[in-house]
Amino acid sequence: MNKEPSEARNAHTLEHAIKEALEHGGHLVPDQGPISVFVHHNTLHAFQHLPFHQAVQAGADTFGAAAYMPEARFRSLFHAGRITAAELNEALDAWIARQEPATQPLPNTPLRDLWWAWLAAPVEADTPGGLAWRLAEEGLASSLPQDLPAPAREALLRGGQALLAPLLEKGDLDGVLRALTGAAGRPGEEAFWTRFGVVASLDAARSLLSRRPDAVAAATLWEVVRRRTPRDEPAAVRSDATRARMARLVGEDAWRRAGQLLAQLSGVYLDEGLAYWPLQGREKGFVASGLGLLLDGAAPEPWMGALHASPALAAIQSGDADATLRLLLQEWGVRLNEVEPLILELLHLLPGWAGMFSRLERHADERAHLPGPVRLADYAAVALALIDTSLRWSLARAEIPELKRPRDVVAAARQRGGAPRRQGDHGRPLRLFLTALYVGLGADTLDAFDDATWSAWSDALDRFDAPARQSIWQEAYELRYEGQILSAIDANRRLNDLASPRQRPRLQAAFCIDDREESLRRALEELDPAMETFGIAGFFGLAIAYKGLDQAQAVTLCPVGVDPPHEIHEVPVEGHEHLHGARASRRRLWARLSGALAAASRSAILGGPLAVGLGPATAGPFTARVVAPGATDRIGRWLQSRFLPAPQTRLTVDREARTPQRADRVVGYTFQEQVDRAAIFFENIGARSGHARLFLIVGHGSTTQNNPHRSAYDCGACSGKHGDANARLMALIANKPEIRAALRERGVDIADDTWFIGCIHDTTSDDVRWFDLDRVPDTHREDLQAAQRLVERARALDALERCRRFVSAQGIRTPERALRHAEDRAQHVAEPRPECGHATNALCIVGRRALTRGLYLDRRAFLVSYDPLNDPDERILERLLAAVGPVGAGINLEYYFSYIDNERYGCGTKLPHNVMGMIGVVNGAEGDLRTGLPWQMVEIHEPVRLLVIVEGTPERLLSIAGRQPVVRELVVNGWIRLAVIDPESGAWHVFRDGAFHPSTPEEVQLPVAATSPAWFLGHLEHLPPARITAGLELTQEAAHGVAAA
Amino acid sequence: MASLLPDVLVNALLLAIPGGLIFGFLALAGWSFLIGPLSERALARHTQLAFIASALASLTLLVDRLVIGQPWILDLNVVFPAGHGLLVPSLRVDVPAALLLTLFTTLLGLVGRFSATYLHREPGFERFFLLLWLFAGGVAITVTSAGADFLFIGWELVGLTSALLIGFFRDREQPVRAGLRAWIIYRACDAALLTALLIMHHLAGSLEWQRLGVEAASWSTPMTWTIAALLILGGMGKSAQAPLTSWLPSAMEGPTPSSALFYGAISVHLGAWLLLKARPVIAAAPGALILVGAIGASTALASALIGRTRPDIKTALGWATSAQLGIIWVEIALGLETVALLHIVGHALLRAFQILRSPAIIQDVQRIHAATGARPSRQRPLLLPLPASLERRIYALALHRFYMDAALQRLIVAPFLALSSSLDALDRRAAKLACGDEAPEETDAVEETADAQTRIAS
Repeated sequence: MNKEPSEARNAHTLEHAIKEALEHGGHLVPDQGPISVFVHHNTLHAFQHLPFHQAVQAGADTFGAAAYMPEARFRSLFHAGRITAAELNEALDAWIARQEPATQPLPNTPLRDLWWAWLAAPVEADTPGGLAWRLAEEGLASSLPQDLPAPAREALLRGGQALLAPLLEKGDLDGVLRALTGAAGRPGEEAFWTRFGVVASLDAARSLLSRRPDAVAAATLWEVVRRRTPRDEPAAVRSDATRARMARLVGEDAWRRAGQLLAQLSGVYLDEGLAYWPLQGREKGFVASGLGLLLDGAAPEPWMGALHASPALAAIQSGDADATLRLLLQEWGVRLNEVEPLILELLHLLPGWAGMFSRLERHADERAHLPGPVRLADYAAVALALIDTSLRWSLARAEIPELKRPRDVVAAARQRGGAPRRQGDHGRPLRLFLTALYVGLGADTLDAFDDATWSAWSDALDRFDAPARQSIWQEAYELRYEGQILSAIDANRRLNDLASPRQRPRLQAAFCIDDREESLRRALEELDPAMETFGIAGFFGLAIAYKGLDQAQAVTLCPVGVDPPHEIHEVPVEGHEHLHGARASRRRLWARLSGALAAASRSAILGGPLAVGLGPATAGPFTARVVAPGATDRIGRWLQSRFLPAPQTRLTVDREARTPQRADRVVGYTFQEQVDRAAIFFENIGARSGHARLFLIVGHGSTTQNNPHRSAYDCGACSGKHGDANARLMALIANKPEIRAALRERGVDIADDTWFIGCIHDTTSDDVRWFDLDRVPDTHREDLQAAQRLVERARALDALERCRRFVSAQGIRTPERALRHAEDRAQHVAEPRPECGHATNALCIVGRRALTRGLYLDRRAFLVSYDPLNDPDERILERLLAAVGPVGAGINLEYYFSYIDNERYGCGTKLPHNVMGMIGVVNGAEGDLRTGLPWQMVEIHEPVRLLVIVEGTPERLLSIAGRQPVVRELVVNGWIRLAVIDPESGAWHVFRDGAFHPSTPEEVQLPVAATSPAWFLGHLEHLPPARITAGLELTQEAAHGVAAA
Repeated sequence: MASLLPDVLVNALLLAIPGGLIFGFLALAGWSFLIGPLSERALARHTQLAFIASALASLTLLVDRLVIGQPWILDLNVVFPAGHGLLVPSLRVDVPAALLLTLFTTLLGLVGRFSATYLHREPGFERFFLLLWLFAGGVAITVTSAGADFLFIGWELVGLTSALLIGFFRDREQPVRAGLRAWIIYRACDAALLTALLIMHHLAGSLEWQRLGVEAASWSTPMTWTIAALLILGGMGKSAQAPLTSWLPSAMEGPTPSSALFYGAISVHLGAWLLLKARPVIAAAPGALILVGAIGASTALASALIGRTRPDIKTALGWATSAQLGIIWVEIALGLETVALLHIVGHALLRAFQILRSPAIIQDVQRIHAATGARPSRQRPLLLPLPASLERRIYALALHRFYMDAALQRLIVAPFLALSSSLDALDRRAAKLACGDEAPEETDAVEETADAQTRIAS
């Protein structure tokens, strides 16, 4: 066989092409690390350099996924009033403004009307079967839709009449049949009977025209469209992938069989300790150890034996991935320009596994300490070798004369690929028909079009393709929320008195910016008007690696991507070392015992006696956990308190001569480092003076059972962990008198009688734990008790607000019951929705609390405290946006994508999930790793892009965007929506199409409710903002507002 | 026959457990079909009530039998005086049956409660619970029937619901394929069981186990061996004995609670139950018990080794289950019936909980890691120290499931497909002869079926 001239004979160039392809391909697979360090990120991060609407299409093409919600869903939201005509019009106009100006295809109907009609028309039929089904089931061609505008309906009726009447007068039965059914003679008569239920005759047609003119109008219109739209008009179809072409040529899918084995081998190779008997020889790499398994002895399935005859056998045995890839690609006769698409397809055979190899190669720190390198090249080499093996075996069996070797298949596939398969566009006649219906183009009008008009009309609609329509729907969908929020904040700002002199608050608390803390902050403020809350990223500016008392290893508690230089250890206080020793040894004993029992229960010989003994012994506790999870947990904790001594502990705040776990870190902070971090903390939240006597710093985390995705519920600013250590540490630092003295020089004036306490809020059980209470000075005992009482009530209110979203908690009407329900959920082994996580997140507000205080934001908002009046060089704002932008957008976009295509971008329903190798989940027994969020986490989400509202000016934002490329990318490419409100004047600007535009929110009368529960109780759905008056010192206007309501 | 309770009460309880569950299934399914879908709340409440009531009734029977110590037989011939056909329904409860009935209904109640939360808002909620009812009815029939005939009905219901729940997520390919695979193995083994029943009925005129056990002594050796082999094969499918084991780990495709109930707790132990019942008949064939023991031992050995190599929790537990099932078979072969019974009870409980809690494995291991400072140690994966090359060879074999699937494929599936395709060719030729040229060309359906079978087998 002749070698193709451009075939990759030059090993060096080929090697380069492979390397580039892997480099590129490694970014086009899911970028999710091991599930125990789950952190939210933009699912389409690889496409973030593109504008949002382009990127979702590119992602859809790459992953075979959806780009938006389906049109039918948007349309039903439109009918439900969630999207209004005004916003749809605005979005359509904005879209038109971005297009090249188009000529008007029709004399009397503006193009925009056609497009508008099409948006509203239910167009879903892309197959001949789908078209036939809609015609038959919906009677499209024998009646007019109910929701037609009246003028359109009249025009259609006139059109039908005008077309049919002359034929009836002439007595031309065949003509009448043709006009109504598209066929003459007997077929026409039969179609007439099917369509109208009467025997065909001139009289029947006459009575039809007089009694059912709508049937005539629809049928004549449909037949005109059908006659004039070429049946098999080709629509360009994406050319098939190599795999599909190969399968058609060979008669069976060689990739599929290879994929199954590839998933198994990847599982044993990447396993981080689930298998009792791990794969041996992993230090030799994936190629040698994984494929080596098939070369040892006979292969279990006949096709695998063909690996012995692999052209790259020597390279495989020596574990050389690059050579394996090169040799096989050469053997396949793959051309240089085909290397990248082929490798990309190879990686997308099992995107989850490929993504894990790619991720662990780039983030070696996320891999457990196990032998064996993780390289994407190894993975690709194994994949290709298996496909090659499987393909050669298929070829040997298929006995197709012209296909002897894989290279023949590749060559044949290439020829086929040159001409992409074309197929008729069956949706087109339907689209034209429906558009004509909704704009009221009667059958006679259409019939009179000349060919040029006809094609102009139909081309204009082709330009308005599904991506365009969906992007318009998406924009309109988001505009609704944006308009609502801007109006609400605008009104709320005017009601709140920004200028009034601040009195010393009774209690202050800094929370994480997390959307789940919005309700707790509101509850606290509602209960005590003299309470003040702040929002700041939940690691509180302390990037640490933390080793708790009960932990064996330090974990990073700071945003992903930051490698903390400081280690903080939790150690027993002096005199409590012996307690710690006893605790550690008992925990060790129990852990060893339970570990050994779990392992032994799976063995053959010990398993028997163990089952007989352990089975009945575990029956009681397990039953209790299913029937009464909360109570069982309380018993368990009581037992722990009895048998596990709890030493008092301290954190190693100051630099100490302890050994860090990693040599490049230091334990504790120097004095100056502490001052710096504390200063930044207070500057960021805008609390430089006038602190309350008690100041809480509240981190958060979650408690869930039986939940591989647990980490996704924890604090995103702490790498998916609990933020307790950070909160506790900041409180310890801020309580030091010498730190306060140094802070005064930095412009942060903390009163001597202010005391800081670190806490942690459990977002699932709504529990709040307090740290270092023994250090609270006696002078503050009363303040502490008051604060504890307040928090106790607030967390129950928070639980009540969360319960409104749980379908299974609808009967709950009191805070106490709600709290018990939340505690149960946190401990329930069968609960797939322990909490709603970040679902429904849609908003991020960077500014003073005065903008939002008293405003019900429905747990949908990231609230970032920022004082624009004390930030002359926008240094603080820059810092905040650089941190909050990517984190907020990451969470929001992960929810967006996991919602719109839960099978491709998300990991589907949780129910069949199976933990694989401690690094991820697969569906059922085996298969690809599933990435993204499970359906149970996102099901109540509204897929809108994050609306970021910043208290500032367009100039400030633009100058920050100029310095912060990540922020610029997010904003300019439309991954987040941005609005700014001027701190002084309250004027609004929104960012659209690359620039800020002044905007005037619609003036609304905010709905008013006395308390949050009065507003939310009994509602399951998303709630609009409202003004909650409890906890507000009523101003004149507010009082007026209450009266008006 | 003696009883602590009034006779009529014992009879009522015994009849009410399987009867109530089957009736309940019919009533709920009928309601759903005729009137409209049942609400989650109603379905969950009815299920729990019924399962708890069944468990209490079973417990009553258990206490009653424990005190009396003799079996109780309810001869339904009195109720249905038809009497001479193949189907002679009569129920029997003795200590083992009452014990298993109590265990299984309790587990059903617990898993029912678990599932009401776990499957909340799942589109297939109603389907899941209806199948659970049908399964419960099948289990109750299997355990309480006095004869093999009635047992077979329950047996079939269990198999059917099992396959349907493996394929619960019917819009994906892998679950449906795994369900079909289990179904095919069930079918093949059920055919063997049915054949055995027909032969035994022909020989003994009855299918009551006690009578069969007595009569078996008088049958010829080839006959007893045929029957024993068929009965063993019948039990092998459901109990996933080698070489038919691998459907069991692959069956972990449904929602977690159904996996726990079927493949950890109840369904797989019914094979052992059949063996316990049929043991006297099998024992009549000289050496057949040795075969039972050998099958069990090889299943246990292979499964334990295979399970150790699994990097995912559900199939690791699946193989661990089949290992214990193998041991239970060995116990039955050795005549340790009480031990086997206790083993079933303990194992069903333990494994059900382990599978239900399987998603927590990451947290569990993290906790152990935090407390001990090390990941669970893997010093010696095998009991014996072996040379590295041998260990590596065994590992490769275990990872490849000791070629069980490949052997099945080569020895059974491939010949069967070859036979069916040659039969198909013959059929087409005959059709051509009969109809001339109008005979349909190669039918797609046949091709598709063959294709599907190949894929299921592969």
